[in-house]
Order: sequence, then C-alpha cells, then structure tokens
Amino acid sequence: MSDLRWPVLALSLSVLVLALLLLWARRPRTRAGGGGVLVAHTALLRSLPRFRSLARREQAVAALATLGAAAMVVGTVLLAARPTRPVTIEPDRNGRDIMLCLDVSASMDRWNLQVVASFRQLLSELDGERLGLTIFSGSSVAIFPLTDDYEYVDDRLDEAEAAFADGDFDYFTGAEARVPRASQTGDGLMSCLQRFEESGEQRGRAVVLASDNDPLGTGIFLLPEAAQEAVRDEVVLYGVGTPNMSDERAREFADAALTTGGEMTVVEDDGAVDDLVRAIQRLERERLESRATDIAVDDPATPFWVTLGGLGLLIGAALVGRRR
Amino acid sequence: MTTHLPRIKARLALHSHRRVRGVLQGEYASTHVGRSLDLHDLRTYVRGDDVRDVDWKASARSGQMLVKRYVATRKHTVLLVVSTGRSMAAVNDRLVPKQDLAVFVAGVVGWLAVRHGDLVGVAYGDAQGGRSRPASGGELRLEHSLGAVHDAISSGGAASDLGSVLEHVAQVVRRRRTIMVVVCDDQVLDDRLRTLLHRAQAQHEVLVVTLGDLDPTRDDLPRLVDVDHGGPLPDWLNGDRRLQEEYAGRLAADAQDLTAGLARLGISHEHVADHEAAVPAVFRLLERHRRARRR
Repeated sequence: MSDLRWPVLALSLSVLVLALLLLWARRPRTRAGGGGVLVAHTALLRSLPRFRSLARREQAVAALATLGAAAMVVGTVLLAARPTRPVTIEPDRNGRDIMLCLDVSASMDRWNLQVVASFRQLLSELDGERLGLTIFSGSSVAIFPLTDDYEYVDDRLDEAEAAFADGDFDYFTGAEARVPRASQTGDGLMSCLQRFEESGEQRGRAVVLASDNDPLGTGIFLLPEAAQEAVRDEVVLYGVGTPNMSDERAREFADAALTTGGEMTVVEDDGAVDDLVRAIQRLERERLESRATDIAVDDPATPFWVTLGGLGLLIGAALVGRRR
Repeated sequence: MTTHLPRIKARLALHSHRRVRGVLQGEYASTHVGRSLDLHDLRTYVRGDDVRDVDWKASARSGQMLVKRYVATRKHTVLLVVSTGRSMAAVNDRLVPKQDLAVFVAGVVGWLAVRHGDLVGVAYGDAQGGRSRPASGGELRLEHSLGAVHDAISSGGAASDLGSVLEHVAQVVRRRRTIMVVVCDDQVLDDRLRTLLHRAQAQHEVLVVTLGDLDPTRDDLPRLVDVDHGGPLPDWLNGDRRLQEEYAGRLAADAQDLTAGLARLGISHEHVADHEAAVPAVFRLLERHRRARRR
C-alpha cells in the first residue's frame, strides 16, 4: 500500500472536514423551517404504502449521494496528501554512456535507414546504459541527450526512421544549416564528444559513429585529431562504415577507431552489431557499485479513481433524484 | 389588537337578509323575545299564589289584588369548543389558515347567539389541557373570547387533542345543558373520542364543524413545512400520481368514517373549506339541529 508524502496535511484536512460536519450537524435549526406553508396531520400521508416506497427510494438515492460525497472528500484529502509508492531503483547497473553519432550528409542517405536499424538492434541488446543520439552534417543537432529511458529512445528512433524513409528534409535542417555546406567526420565526432557530461568521468564512454567518412568542404578538426581528443577524454570510438567507402577513407576511419581502443565495422556486415555490442560490453570501465535506493514515486491512481467514482455516484444520484 | 367580530359581521351582511333573520329568530327554538331580566306582568290574585308575590303598590292603585309574575327567562348557553393545538396553525386545502377559519366559524355561531340574547362560553385547548371562559352575553366578551382562541393557536404550541378539550369541558361544565359547537380539524374517531362525544351528547346538543387539511401531494404547492416536526416536507411528494390517488382514497375513507361515526352518535356535522362556505355551513348545521330537536 502506498504511503502519504504529507500525512500531516491529510490529518489536518480530515480534522477540518470533521469539524465542519460537526458544526453543520449542531447548527441551530429554525423550527419554522425558514418559511413555507404549514401542513398538519402528515401522519396520514406517512402511513401510505406509496409514501413508504417513495421514501425508501429517496433514502437509497440520498445514501448513494452521501457515499459519493464521502468518497470524493476522502479521495481529495488523500490526493492532497500525495500518496506515494516506494520504488527500488538500481541506478546505472551498467555505468556506460553511449552516444550514437549519425552522419546525415547526402552521401549517407542510402545507408541511414540501415544504420538506424542497427542502432535499434544495439538498443535491444543494451540494459541500463545511457544512450544519446546526435546527427551531424555541416553542424550537429542533438536529437536526444543521454538517457536511460529506452521507450523514449525507441520513439525517437521511430521518428528518425520515418524521417529517413520519407526523406523528410525538416528533420535534417539543423544539421545542414551551415553555409558554405560542409560535412566533416572529424567535426561530427568532436561535437559528439562534447555531448558527454563533464562529471561522468568514472563511467565508460563510447561513441558509435556511423559515417562514410566522406568530408565535404573544410572543417576544423580532422578525424585523427578528433580521435586524439577522444583518447584524451577516455572515450572509445566505434565506427560504423559503409561498404562503398574508399580504402583510404576506411583505413583512416578504422585507424581513428583503433586509436581510441575501439573498432570499425561496416553497416552491411552480418553480425556487425553483435560485434559492436560485445565490444561495448567489454567496456567495463567501472561497474558502479549499484546500491539499490528506495525512492517514493507519486501514486495517485487509487484516490483519483475513488474521487472520480464518488463524483460519478453523486451526479448519478442527483440525476435520479431530479427525474420524476 | 385584531378585531374578529367586525369582520364576521361584514361577511354575514353579505348573505341574504332573510336567511340571517331566519337564523336569528328562533333557529334554536327560543321561548322568549325580550332581553330584560325584569320583564314580568301582573295578574289578579288567585288562591294559592304566594303572598310574597303580591304587588302591593299596584294593588293599591288599581283596587284589586295583583301579583307579580316573572317570566321564566330561558337563555340558552352556546359553548364554543375549539381545538387549539398546533395543527390548527396549519393551512387547509384552500391554503386558508385553519386558525382564521376556526375563529371565523366560532365567531359566526357566537355572534348569532349574542344577537339572539344567549350566553356564549368558550372552551379551548390542546394536548396539554383545556382552558375555558365562562358563558356570558355581549359582543365585547365574545370578541375577547375569540381573541383568546386566536392567540392560543400557534405553530409552537402543543399537539392537537380534541379529547383533552372535551374532558376539560366535562369537568368544568357540570350541570348546564348547552349547545356545544365543536370546531376542530378532521378527526379519526377512536374509542376515547367516541366515548367523550357520547358523554357530551348526553348532556349537550353537540354540533361539530371540521376543517380539512392541505393535501401535500398536490402539484402546485409552495414549500411545505410540517407543523408537527418543524421541518420541511420532502419535495418529492408533489406530483406523484399513485401517491395522490392513495392519499385521496384514504382521506375519503376517513371522512366517511367520521361522518358515519358522528351520525351514529346523533351529532350533526359539517365540513368547512373556506370563509365563503363557512356561513352556509353554519346555517345548515343550525337548521339541521333545529329539526332534530323538534323531532
């Protein structure tokens, strides 16, 4: 059963309600009933069988309405006191941050759907890691920051998938916004590196970079420079290349990955993602001693339904009472 | 101070003169016309007359022996018995306060009696006991009596109980034979009431005027307050056909029981709905009573 976050409030509200009820019950009733025509000898009326059946019906309706009102009061008092449910959280069982980094330059159009699919597969293999997604071309856009809410991640991947499938230009606009147009893998990697939080030093960190390493225009960082930066930040780079990469480009990409302790796969490879996952699993930089902590989560469902039920009962009784 | 008699007179004036005069002259078989207690005549002495009755001065003037003869003054006493419990503070089916109607009916009878030169006494009360004002003549006394009855009725008073008023009358009015006009609401004749009425009928001429109650199941009513409980009547009473039928049926049966029960006791009975109907009803009642007496 749930606890109350503010039990004192519930108590004082209950006392207030009881006090008001008492005050109401003890208020002086005017004998004349506050105006109206006086009638005598109602005993005759009250002895009629029809009167009794009507009275019983009205009593039942009034009882229901009272029950509804009581349920509403109890429900709202409980709601006001914020019922909570204790939840045991095991924080960061796998203390790793993984930033998915997706090159959305025109040359990647063919592969993006596949890459997202492989990201999704990666997602299904992970448990407890934090994921983030950044797309880049000329500049980078964070689609979502690091999070362990996998449902949310899944939704965003759906979005990305739909955008890639339809060629929805709006989706990439942010990444294309630079003039003159440019697409630099090195810059993309750098911006992804910046998405990690400063304080996450003890967590294993990886960037999964999907790109064909086909630079366009002039950038700020070359890929090897960015790789050096990754080494300095203790981030492991996993590359996901495309089959049509030239050898030179592929070698540069693979070298960069290797520099950081990661590896490179190609998007079409069978088991490419499996390899990636396995590699990430190895990244057991520090498995944080996961101390289960109890936290209280708001759990207003029961009193809410009680209140709603009470309201329904009250309205129903009022309608039945009016119907004649 | 409210004046009751002028209003009663005003209403009576609206009715045909002949009817009123007829009522005034001998509706209850009076034996005399004059008012004065001193009314008498003289006649010649015959053997056997009391010597104390000889009018010596008149005898001396006329030269023959004359004796005073007193007319036996036979004044009737009309006793108005009004139930003044709190149920009389309610209204009847025409939304007329029963209080006003009771005072009016009693006033009509009382005024007719006063005009007739009879004595009018008043007894009233509720479940907590009865009170009475001695029989006396004169409009002023009648006015005061009616005022007392009017003031005795209040919604905060005790419950109505005609029986207790009748018991009070039985204790207070011991030997005198009166014309007892009972003004009360619809009664259910139980054994106690039947016994009391029977006993009253043995001593007095009993006439009963009943005032009905408001039917609380009617459609077109304002807010109703139960005079006994002091609380409002539930609003779901109005307009339920079955309830109306049952209530009307029960009311009719009760009324029939009352009429039949009173008839068995030999008591004339009228039901009065409002001020208009009150005067003819009183006349009918007195008429029936007169016929019954001459039977």
